[in-house]
Amino acid sequence: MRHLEPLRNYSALTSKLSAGLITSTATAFRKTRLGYDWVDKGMRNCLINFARRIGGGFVCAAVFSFPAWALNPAYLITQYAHSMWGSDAGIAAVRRIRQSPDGYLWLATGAGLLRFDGVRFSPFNFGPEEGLESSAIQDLVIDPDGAMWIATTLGGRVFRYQAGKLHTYTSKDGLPPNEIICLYRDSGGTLWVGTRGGGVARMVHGRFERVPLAIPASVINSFLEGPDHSLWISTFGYGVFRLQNGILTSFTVENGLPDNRVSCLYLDHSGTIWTAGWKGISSWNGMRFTADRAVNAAVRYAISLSVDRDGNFWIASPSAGLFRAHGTEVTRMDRSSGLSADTATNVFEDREGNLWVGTPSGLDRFRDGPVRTFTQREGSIPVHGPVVTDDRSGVWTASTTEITQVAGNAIRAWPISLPSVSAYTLLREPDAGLLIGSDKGAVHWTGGHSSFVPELSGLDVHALFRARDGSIWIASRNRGLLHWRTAGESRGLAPTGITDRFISSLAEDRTGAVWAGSATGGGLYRLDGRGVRHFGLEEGLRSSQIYTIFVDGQGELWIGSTVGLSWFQDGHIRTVNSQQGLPADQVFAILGDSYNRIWIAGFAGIAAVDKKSLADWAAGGRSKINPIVYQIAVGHTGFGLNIFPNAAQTADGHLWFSIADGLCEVTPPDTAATHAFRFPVVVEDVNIDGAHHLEPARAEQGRVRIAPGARSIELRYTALTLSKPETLQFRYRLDGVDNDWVSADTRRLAFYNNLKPGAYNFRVAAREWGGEWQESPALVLEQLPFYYQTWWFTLLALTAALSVVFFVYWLRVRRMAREFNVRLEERVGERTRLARELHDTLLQSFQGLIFHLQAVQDLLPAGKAKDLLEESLERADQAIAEGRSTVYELRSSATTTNDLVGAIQVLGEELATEDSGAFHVLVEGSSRNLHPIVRDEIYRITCEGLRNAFSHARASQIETEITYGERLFRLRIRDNGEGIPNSILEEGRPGHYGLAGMRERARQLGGKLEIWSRAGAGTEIELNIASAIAYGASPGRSLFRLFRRKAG
Amino acid sequence: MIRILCADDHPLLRDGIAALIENQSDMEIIAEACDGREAVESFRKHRPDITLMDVQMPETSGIDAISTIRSEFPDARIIVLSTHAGDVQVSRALKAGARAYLLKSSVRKELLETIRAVHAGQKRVSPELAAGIAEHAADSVLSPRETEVLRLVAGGNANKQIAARLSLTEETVKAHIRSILGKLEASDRTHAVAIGVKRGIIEI
Repeated sequence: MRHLEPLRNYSALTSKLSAGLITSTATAFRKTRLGYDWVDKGMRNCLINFARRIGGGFVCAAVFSFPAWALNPAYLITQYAHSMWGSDAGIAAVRRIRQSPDGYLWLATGAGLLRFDGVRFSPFNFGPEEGLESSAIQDLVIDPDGAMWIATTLGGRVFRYQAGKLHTYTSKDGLPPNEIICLYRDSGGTLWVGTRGGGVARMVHGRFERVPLAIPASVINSFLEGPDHSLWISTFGYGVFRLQNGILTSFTVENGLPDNRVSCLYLDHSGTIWTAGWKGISSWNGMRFTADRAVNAAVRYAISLSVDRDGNFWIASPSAGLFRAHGTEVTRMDRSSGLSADTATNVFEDREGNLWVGTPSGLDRFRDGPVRTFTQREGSIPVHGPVVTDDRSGVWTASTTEITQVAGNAIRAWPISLPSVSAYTLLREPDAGLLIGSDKGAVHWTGGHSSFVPELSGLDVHALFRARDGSIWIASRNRGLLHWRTAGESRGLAPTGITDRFISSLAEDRTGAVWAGSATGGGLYRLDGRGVRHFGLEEGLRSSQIYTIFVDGQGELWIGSTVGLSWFQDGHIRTVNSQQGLPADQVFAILGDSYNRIWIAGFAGIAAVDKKSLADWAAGGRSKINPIVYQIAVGHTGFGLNIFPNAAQTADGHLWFSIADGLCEVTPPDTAATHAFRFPVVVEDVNIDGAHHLEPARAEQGRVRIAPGARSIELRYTALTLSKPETLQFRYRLDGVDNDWVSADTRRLAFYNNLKPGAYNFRVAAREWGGEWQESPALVLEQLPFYYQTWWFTLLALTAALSVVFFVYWLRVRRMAREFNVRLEERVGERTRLARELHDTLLQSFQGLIFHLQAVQDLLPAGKAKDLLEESLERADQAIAEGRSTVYELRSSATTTNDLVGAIQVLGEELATEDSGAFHVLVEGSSRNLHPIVRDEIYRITCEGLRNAFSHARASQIETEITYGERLFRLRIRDNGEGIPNSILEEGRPGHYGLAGMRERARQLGGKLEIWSRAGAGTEIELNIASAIAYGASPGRSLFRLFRRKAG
Repeated sequence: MIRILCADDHPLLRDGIAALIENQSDMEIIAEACDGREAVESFRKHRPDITLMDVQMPETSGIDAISTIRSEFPDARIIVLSTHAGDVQVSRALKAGARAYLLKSSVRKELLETIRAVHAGQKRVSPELAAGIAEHAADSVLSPRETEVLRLVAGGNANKQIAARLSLTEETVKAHIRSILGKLEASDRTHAVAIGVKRGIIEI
């Protein structure tokens, strides 16, 4: 160990560094289980941050929790659930794997940055920055607030991306021009940059500054903040440096490093610092580095290291693939054993415990769960073999040629050593040997020695089952079901009376009765001391084709058939299948566990059903059961059909199923842990008419505005859990469009077309099989309207339409009024001309004649002739005077005063006789001037009406009502007399033109006359004349008046 | 012998008057005219003692003819014959220089007597006509322009047409009409026309 001299300006740097580091002491690590504390705190902060952001300011109460899946060290490396994505998924050359606080996985690849939700890779679009999206990404760092720092291989540039904004830092911002190799963010929030040959830089107050450290010009490829807040720096060629309290210390092979070419630094969950590089890995014990001998014996060059929660060391090697080390055991995986490439470049454990491996060809994920498989990859495992357990948690299976034992990870096989024997079934013997049922009878096998059982020779044995009394039940293809007692008085082979040759499963219930299921439609048989009882469709079975039967620890019988899982409850056979929530209808194998669950195997994998939920369903308490479903990895589908036994439970509670590739082991998980699994569900993208619309950052604002006229809207949503994302079930709904949740199954897309303007809440929920629905915060889709879809436009259009109608009406009324006025003027002119004619010509002529006659009369002597002529002349004068006055009336008007009411009053009085009824004139509204001719006509109509009333009605009450309305002039003449007979109403009074005349006058006035009359009930005559005509005023004025009144 | 000029546009009426006078030994019709212009010419030519002048005649009206004759012959004795009893016309005729105003309905009985009276130098206006004049003596008189407007109103013209005819704005016409309605105490245009006709302000 060698201390370097502090640099001259070092005190300034030291104070800055310590200032940065002091602030981070709030999150100081504790001595015990340091790593976990750190992870938990960090993760919680991230999640709260995430919840804030997706909640758009609302505090999201849901705290997400993830099952701590471990990568069980007891499993073989090939037995983990392994998935890989390569060039067919669009990715290549994964250099760095990071997880953002919201849960996405970010991949720095040779072709840009990818975002991954466990199912979908999204090339991350930074916006308009040229060249970035297709650049090879060297490294990235994600801040707890989601801001990303990105370095590309271009060199000399660092990008910062947050909330849709990209900022580029260059040498102008103080960055060294060299290629940037790594980025690091310490707990104080300071960003560190390691370069190739340009030393170390860090960001201070928005600018980068070179940190003058005495590190030789080399590749700075990793930073690490130690538990004591010292900063560790690794170099490729000069070992490791530590910056502690301003003092830089160098560590090389002299200090225990395996080699000075170090690739990365790693802090494990317990707070130990590790290096990886040439010649393997080493750990820091506080004084010096110690090489890990076991690992380094196998790993020549480690480029990346991760230590998972179970203490497995995962090492990426550029030369040899992936290594897992546990204790002294080191296992390797490369392309031949399933890795996507023969080299690995990066290993990363996500917060759910999945292990991710980046390779030049793509991405690999390892996780374990309750299910692991034993196939030809792990050893000599028969396919589709029967499976039985031994006393020590081991299982036995058999092929036509071999007997195989699996105990722990050890697989051991023995030859059956008998020629041409096909082993169909196995039975454990009390002496730890096996009884093998074959087409050539039964074989006793123990310790590698085989011998035919003479009593069973000639039988084609397909199932063997030992009852509690020690007797053996044998299903044979040639003699049906047989009962073999090996001890006691009745020892020997006895027929059961069941000749069904396809009995495929046998079980004994708690009463000691033996059940046998027929695989070819024979149904179910129950045998006890009293005989055989058959169960078929009549007895309530839904199918008589029985795949398997099983009696659980409580002695209850379970039946697997082509239509589901059946059992007896309250004397009835109940059956559930996919309609009630099972993953598939066919049930090939059944087992129970110690958590009161029934496990079934079928086409869709293995599912666990809570027995209580089945009972609840049978009692009508629920319509669905929610099984936990485990899909068996690709290639492992198909369960031992017509193999007996095809499932078995070992003493440690593990469940074993016979599958097409071999065996499958299930470790039943604790129920509570599974159901506490909570994860965020988010809408990540909105595409409108094919155009990417919603930046991920903007999705979190909780509102998307959609431009008018959008046709198709595509919503991409996801659930941010990386453990079993491909099996997650989704449902979504758009309130106002969908009446209920729309089931999307595993699809992560929703489409909508032609939304009507308005705001809609979009919600999506996800769950794993049997889990609770986890719902996203609502995203508001606001479809903006075209201007013609807005309420104000509708209002405007209506107003305009009304205005037009009103205007047309107004025009029409005006035109009518004008035409009428013109007609009136014509009539005035006509009358005037007539009057002048009469006056100027006729009357003058008469006058002249009278003068002549007067002259004659003057000549006549006094006498009778003269007197007579005088008398005639007097009359002629009168006649002329009358004529003149008529002419005068014609010229002006009948009533020179405008007092229609008065005129009518006088008229009524004139018409009244002693025995006629009372007469009233009622006036409503303030009196208005009527057009003289209209007034005359009204007067004449009134004359006619009143004359009728007074002459014919014999009424006690006669009333004239005049209404000077704004829009109408109305005249009503009412009496309570005899009424007008219908004949007269219809045809008129013979020789009179009264009613017809009234109507005609009204029509010519442009008014409307209506007469109601009934015999004995009086008469009412109503005359309505539009105000424009009656008052001779322009309708516009009255319109304004109307508005004014309304306004007032 | 009283020499009489009879001016009336109506031939039958002139005949009638001629017949009435023919029987009288002390008077004779020396000339007839059918309009105002002819009446003036005839007067100049014949210098009648008495002129019977109808007010309503085509071309030059009776009133104008009277004014013309009187301006040339201040001694001219003219009797107005009219069917109109309107005060304005009566007073206008009298102002123009007529010596008597006789309603045509009274001609049969009073013509000869009136001719003789006027010839003797008297003035004659029947009592009811005199009362009419007295009744409206205090009233505002329509200006010539207003009279013109009223005449056009009576002719069935709208304000716009009146304005066009008189080269006025429509507003001015309206103002005139308001003034007319006020002076005649009329309630509307038609009423005003009726009053105008009745009082002889205008003829129709």
